[in-house]
Amino acid sequence: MIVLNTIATWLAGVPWGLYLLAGGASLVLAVSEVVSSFELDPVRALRTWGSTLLLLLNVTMAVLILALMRSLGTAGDSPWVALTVGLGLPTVVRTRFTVMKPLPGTAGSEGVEIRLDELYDRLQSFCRRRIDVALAGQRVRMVEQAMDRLALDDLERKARLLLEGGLVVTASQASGYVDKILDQQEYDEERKRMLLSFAILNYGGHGMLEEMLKSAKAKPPA
Amino acid sequence: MVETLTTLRELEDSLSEEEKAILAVLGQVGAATPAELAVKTFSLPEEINDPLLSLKEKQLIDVRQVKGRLGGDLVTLNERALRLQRELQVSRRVK
Repeated sequence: MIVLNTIATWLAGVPWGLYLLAGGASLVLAVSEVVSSFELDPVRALRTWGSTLLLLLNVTMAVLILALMRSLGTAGDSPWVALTVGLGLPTVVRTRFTVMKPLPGTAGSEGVEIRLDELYDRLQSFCRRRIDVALAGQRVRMVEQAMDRLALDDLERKARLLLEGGLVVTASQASGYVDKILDQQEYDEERKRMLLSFAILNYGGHGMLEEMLKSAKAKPPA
Repeated sequence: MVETLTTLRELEDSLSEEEKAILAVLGQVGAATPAELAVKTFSLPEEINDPLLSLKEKQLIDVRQVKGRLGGDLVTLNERALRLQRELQVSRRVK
């Protein structure tokens, strides 16, 4: 009973609002990072496990740093400090927190420091890689569907429009690329469909290939 | 061991145009199958086999297996390649 009372008293003393503010600001920052890093496909990127992990990592780091700053006495109970920790997390995380200072006159010692930047960078890279791999997997699955349901002629027409129309792709190699694929005698039709589907997906976007798949579904079977 | 900027520049000089194009595409999309990389560089899949092998030997890319009908390899940049891109970008900006 005494233990429960102690925990309850401690919990009542925790300024939850400040942690919520720091975590929330950090969450907004992480969402904007994902959206700007994966600007071609932000919604799909946000729906991946890697993204969820990245958002959780940012919130946890902001809360952890605010708690560390408060316990070391470098931050009071100001909401501005909490907001700064949340919004300035990438910078704040690179701060070295000295928990024990060396005794005066001690040569060659810098005290005991807590460094969170390396851990944060590693975890952030891990999450980004998970997002990259998840998005690549989604593209592969979409191309598989296109190979199953779309005719070579339809894929060729759309790919020509994208690559030879000059509206979306202006690179000089683009103009002859569809013919380069179709002229490969050793390629079977499935391989040609795969490459053309990847071309539409990459140069026209998910929406375009999805639209083609939807209209193929809507057509009555021949 | 952290590589110096000089080592990274030498590494960049040793890359062929195809290898640089593949690294640039991977920098944009993060991960891709060889077929997708071929499409992004307007090549045929067999044309990028050698550059991919060379990039793997230079320890700039990782190749992992994916499931599915198109299953096989999924290519990603590794830490060394990310550092190469980051450092060279920074050094060019400073210049």
